[in-house]
Amino acid sequence: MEIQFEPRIEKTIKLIEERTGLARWQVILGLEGNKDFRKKIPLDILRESTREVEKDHKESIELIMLKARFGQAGSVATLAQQVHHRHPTLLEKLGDATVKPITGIPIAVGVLWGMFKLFITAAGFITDVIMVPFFEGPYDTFVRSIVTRIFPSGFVHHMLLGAPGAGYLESLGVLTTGIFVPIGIVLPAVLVFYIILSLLEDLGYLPRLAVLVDTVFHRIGLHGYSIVPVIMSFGCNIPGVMATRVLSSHKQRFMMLTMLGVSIPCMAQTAVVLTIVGPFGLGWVALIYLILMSIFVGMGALLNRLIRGETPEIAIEIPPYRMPQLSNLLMKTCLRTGQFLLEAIPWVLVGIIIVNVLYALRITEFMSRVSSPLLGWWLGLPEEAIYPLIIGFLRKDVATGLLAPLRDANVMNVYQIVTTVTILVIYFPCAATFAVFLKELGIRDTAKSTAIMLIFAFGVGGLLHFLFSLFSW
Amino acid sequence: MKILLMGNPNVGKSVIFNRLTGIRVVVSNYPGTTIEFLEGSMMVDGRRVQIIDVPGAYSLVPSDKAEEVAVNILMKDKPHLIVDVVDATNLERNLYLSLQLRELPIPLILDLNMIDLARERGISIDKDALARALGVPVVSSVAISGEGVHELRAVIARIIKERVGSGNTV
Repeated sequence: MEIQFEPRIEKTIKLIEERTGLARWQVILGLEGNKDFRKKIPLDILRESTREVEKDHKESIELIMLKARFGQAGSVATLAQQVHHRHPTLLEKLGDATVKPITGIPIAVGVLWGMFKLFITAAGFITDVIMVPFFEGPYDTFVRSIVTRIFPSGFVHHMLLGAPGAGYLESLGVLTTGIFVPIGIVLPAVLVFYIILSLLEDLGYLPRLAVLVDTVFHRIGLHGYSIVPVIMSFGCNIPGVMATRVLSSHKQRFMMLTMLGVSIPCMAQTAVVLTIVGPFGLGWVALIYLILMSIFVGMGALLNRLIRGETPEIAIEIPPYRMPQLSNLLMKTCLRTGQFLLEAIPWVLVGIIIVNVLYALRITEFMSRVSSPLLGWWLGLPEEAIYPLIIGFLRKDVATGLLAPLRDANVMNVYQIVTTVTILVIYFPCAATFAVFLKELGIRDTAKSTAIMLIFAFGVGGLLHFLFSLFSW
Repeated sequence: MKILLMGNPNVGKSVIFNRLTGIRVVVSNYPGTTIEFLEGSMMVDGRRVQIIDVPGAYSLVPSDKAEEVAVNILMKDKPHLIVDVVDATNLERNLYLSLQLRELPIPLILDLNMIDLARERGISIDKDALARALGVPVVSSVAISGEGVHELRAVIARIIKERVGSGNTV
C-alpha cells in the first residue's frame, strides 16, 4: 500500500518541490505548519501553489494536511488492528471515579490528606528515632575526637564544630549543623516525599488531579496540568520548574515559575517551618501555609490580568492506571534523593562557612546596624534577624540553624519568628533555584520575577507585623 | 552512529532507553516526564552507538517547549536511525507521528510498546500488515518487563549493518 495524499494535495507538493528544489518531506513539513520549513518556501510560491487546494477544501493548508494525516493514520490503523469488545476492568472503573467531580473531589481530598499524614509521620519518625540519636551519639563522638586531634582549638576548630555546648540544630558548625540539618532533618522529608510522589506518578494519579483542578486553575490563568509542577515543587522547586515546560505559552511559564518560587515551599522551606515554628503549635504552621495559599491564588489572579499573552488550551492525555513497580519506585527515589544531596550539601556548607567568616570579620555586626532601622520599623524584628534573612537567600537549611538559637534564647518572640519564617518561605528556595530561573526565563524575566518575590516577601512581612502589633506587643 | 528514540508522550521511551543503555532515568506514568533529552550508548556488534531519549512529541509541528526540543534534536542531530516507540493501545493516534517520521530520509523502526496491555484490552495488531503499509520494520515490546527488547536490538543491529555495508557510514 502506497501512502499518499489526495491528488490535489499531491499536485501542490509536486509543484512546490519543482519550483523550490526542496525535498518532498521538507515541503510536506512546511505545508503542515513547521515554521523552519515554512520559511524555506518563498511566500509567493506558497500562495500560488496552495490557492487551488485551499479554495476546494475551503480550509487553510495546515488544516487540510492535518485532516489528511489523520485520514492516513485511520486507514493504516483499520488495516492492521482488530479491536474486540470487552468489559471495563476494575482499574478503569476506578479511573472514571477519580475524574468525575462528585466522586473525584472527595477521593482527591482523601488521597492528599492521607499522603500528608503519612509524610509527617514517616519523616518525623526517621528524624526523631534514627537521625537524632545517631548524630548525638556515635557521630558526635567520632567527629569531635577527629577534629580535636587535628585542630585542638582556634577558628577552624570552632568553624567545624560550632559554638561549644550548643545543640546540633543551632551550633552552626560545618560538621555539626551543616551536616545535621540537610541530612538529619531535610533528607528524611525529601526521601519520604519522593516515595509518595513516585507512587502517585507511577499509578497515573497526577493527570487525573489535573482534570479535577482544571476549572479552578483556569480562573487564575493556568491550565490544570500546572498541578504537576506544583506538586513536584513541594519536594524541590527545580524539577518543578523543569516540569513547566509542557505549558505552551511564555506567559503561563513566567506566571507558573514565579508562583512556584514564591508560594510553593520546597522541603527545606517546609523543614524551617516545622522545626522553627512547629514548637509554637500547629496553628502557627497552618497560618503560614494559609498565607502561602492565599498568595498563590491572589498572585495568579493578579498576574493573569497584568501580563499580556495567551493562556492557550492544551490537551493532556490521561494515561490508564498502572500498578507501580517497586524497582522503578526505588530507582526513582534514589535518583532524586541523590540529586537533592548533591545540590543541597555543598550550598549548606558554603553558607555556613560564609556565616562563620562574616561573624569572625564582624561584618554581620555592621550589616545588622545598617539594616536595623528598616528591619525594626517595617518588620518589627530585632537586628539579629538580618542574618537568617540574608543567608536564607542561599539556603534555607542555614537559616534554620541561625533562627533556632534566637528562638531558644528568647531574642525573638513568636510573632517575630513567624514573620521571619514567612518571609523565608516566600523567598525563592535557594541559590540553585535562582540559577534555574535564569536558564529558563533569561535575565530580564528573572529580574521581574525576583522583584515580584521581594515585594511579596516584605509586603506580607510588613502586613504581618502591622496585624500582630494590633493584637499585642 | 546515532539513534533517536522518539514517540508520543508517555509511551515508554525512557523505559526502552533504560533497557537499551542500562542508564537509569526517571520514568513516570504521565505525559511530559522527559523534558530534556538524555544521551546514552549501547554496543551493537562491537560498535558503540549513541542513543538519545527524546522528549515526547505528538507531531513534528511543535506546539510546546518539550516538542520544540524534540524537533530540534531531530533536525540538528541528523540521526542515522529513528526508533519510533508507539503505544500499542493507542495505535491510530500514535501513527500520526509515525507517518511524519517515515517520510524523512532516515531509516525508521516502529516499536509497538505496551503490547501486553493492548492484548488485555482485546486489541490485536497485525505486525506484518503494519510493516507492509508503512514500509518500515515493526517490532513489539513490553519495555517494563524487557519482553521484545532483544528483538528490537536485533533489528537495530541489522539496519546499522546494512547502512555500514552500503557505505553510508557516520
